[in-house]
Amino acid sequence: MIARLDGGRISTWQAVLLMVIQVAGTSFLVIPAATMKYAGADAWLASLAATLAGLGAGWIAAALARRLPGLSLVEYPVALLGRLPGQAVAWLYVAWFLLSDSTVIRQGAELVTAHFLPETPVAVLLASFVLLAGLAVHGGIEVMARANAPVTLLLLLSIFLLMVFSVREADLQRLLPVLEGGWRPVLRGAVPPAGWLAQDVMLGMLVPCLRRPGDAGKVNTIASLLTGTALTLIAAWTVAAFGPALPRLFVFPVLLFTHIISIADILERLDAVVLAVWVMGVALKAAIWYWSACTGMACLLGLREYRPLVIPVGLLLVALASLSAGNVVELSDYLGRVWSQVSLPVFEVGIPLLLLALAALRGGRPRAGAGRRPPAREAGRW
Amino acid sequence: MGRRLAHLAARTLLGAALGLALAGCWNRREVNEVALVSAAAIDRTPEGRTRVTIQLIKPAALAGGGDQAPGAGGPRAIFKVAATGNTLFEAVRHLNHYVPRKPEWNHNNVIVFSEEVARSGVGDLLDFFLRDHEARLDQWILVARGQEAAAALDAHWELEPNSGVAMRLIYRRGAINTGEIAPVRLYDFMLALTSPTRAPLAAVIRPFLPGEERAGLETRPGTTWRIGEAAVFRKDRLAGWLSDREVRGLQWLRGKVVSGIIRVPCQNPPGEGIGVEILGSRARLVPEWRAGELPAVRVPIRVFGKLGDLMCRDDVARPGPFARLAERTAGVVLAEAEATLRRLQRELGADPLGIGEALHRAFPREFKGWKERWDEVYPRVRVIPEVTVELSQTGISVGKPVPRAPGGGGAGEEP
Repeated sequence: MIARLDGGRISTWQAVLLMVIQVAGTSFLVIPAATMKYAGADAWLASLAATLAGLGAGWIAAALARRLPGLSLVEYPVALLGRLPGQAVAWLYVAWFLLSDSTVIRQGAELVTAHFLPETPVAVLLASFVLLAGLAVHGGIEVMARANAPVTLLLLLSIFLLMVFSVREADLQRLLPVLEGGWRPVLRGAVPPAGWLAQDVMLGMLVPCLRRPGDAGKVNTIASLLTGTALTLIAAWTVAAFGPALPRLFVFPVLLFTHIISIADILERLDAVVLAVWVMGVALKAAIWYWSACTGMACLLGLREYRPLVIPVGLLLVALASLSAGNVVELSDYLGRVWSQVSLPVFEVGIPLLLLALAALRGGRPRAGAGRRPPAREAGRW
Repeated sequence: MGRRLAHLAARTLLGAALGLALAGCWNRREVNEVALVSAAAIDRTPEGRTRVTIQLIKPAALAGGGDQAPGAGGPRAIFKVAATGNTLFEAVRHLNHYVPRKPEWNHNNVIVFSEEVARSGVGDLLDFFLRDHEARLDQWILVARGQEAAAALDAHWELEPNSGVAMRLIYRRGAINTGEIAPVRLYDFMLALTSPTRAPLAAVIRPFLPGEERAGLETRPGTTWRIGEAAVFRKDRLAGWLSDREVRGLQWLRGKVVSGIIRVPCQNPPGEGIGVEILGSRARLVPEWRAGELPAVRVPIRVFGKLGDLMCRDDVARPGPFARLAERTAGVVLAEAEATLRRLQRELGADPLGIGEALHRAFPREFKGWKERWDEVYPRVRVIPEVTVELSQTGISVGKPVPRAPGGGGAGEEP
């Protein structure tokens, strides 16, 4: 269905980059703070542990895709649980897409407000993000994939450059002693990044649009390892440059790197560059979830087109993003404490695992009619 | 056809809307609308309120060009304003009762605390500089010793019309060129302050004391302030001072002396000096501990240098004496390091070197016990500097003394 709603097809590498931005778009900004709250200097170990969650969640999505080819995350429940309970679960997923996306947009807007445009009303920034993401969603998956490739590469490059330029201030000894408090705080600190990395379950929405759906497993492995490595590095580097305590004073600690970078008195105050790259990253991440919500909804409603939903869903997203938290304190608390603890066991691992178990019990052959391989390219694009 | 027209109209409108957004109406501030803060000084009034004095840049005066020498009759490129408030931020906002533009903190160079403020604790005052989105972590921290902080902003520095910039440059370049200033930005200060054991530092800004100009350097009327020494904090409160030489002792132990001169006493005639130019140094902390004992920290220090000036008759340009000169230089470095350690451990009980952090890393389990009574443990940790000096060259001279009349005093007579 998803494949019919969006006629576009993306290559394996485009899918990898989409999956990377899908996690990295926001998590680089908030992960060090959320993780270090519990894991302290071992934040990098927590990120490393969380990488396993990403690999696992993506693996479940890939395994489901192999057993139910042509279907997506919102169609598996219907195919496996039957019509009514299946629809109910699928709608829960759509709601989860919307709620999660609203926090993504809100984070982007709060970042811009806190650091760069303090006098601009948050609503304007929210609307701008949604407009930008909405245009991408309206363009379809191919447009998103093509727009995303340079953005993801720039984002990874900007992380790399922030690390290289701050090498004079980084002292890897600050990572010692390792595991001072044992594994418990590390695992507790791994929950927020695990929640973000396990967003790899969203592969289940992209997989019908893959030119080679058989590559789903490969997409997950590469994307999870790439994102996990980058997150681990940035967590380690944050501790190396700022110690385990100082970053906890800040909402977006990664932005502090621009304060201490000074190469030959010329290359400094790179804030604007970082902002440009990360705003694009947040917008694309938002677009992927936005697209998933629209196509998922169209699929469940049996619509032939998802594009008429782009504007109403966009308006809904602006409203939800405004409502998602009363202020930045609530937002941080919600993301660090609540979102991951609900998403990880329920939407990212729990339900998918249950569905996979059902699919396996049923013997792997999809029900007649449910698993048509998608035609290479559908006519009648809008 | 109508549909295409509608499309075209929609696109044009969208383009126009983007154009509006790109002009950036909301947070736009033109250069002629801002007041750039160049330096900030924080004092406490007798009633316990916070007084902030800031130095603002007059862009027009800066653009005026070189013919009006700033400070010499012409309009100064900077001016000073002060306001008082119950909190720092409130004080800053009170400035706007008589400053027509809103101060911008992005380019602030230095934050000067008065000695009194430093003694009663700077933590709460730093919060503003960490929270405000304009302020950055690369502002340099100073303590005005025995002075009001605001007075430091009046100090006149040659070559730089903007005294905030002058203070920053002296702070940073002086740290490199002399080794007698420990460079401390807000970033460095906060790294120490958020550590459980490390003591923050800040350089001292103060007027020359009477008679000091003669011993130190020639001064011109007006250039009467200096930056050097260090204020040592315990947590966020000023605990005591380090002299220039003690700061260099600390910088040896940190391996952060980049340049400077070591004076090694002559043997012939005694009392005069050989100047060894420092080319760099390296150090690391090697914690050691045996059960039942207090921990020790070895500090291997490597100093690289060359013969800078030879103001005596010592013939050092032979392998044996040259090697012995290196050993004698090492002795001087060792003495400086040990003097600093005595002061830090016995007198101030402050740990700017990071002895506690080194022990924490090496012996995490045992450190838990030490940390609880750190104030007792720290002065008793044996810190053992081990200095090796590597002299590589004698400059472009071969290293022999320049001939002079027998018995003559030379230029380097010491009182």
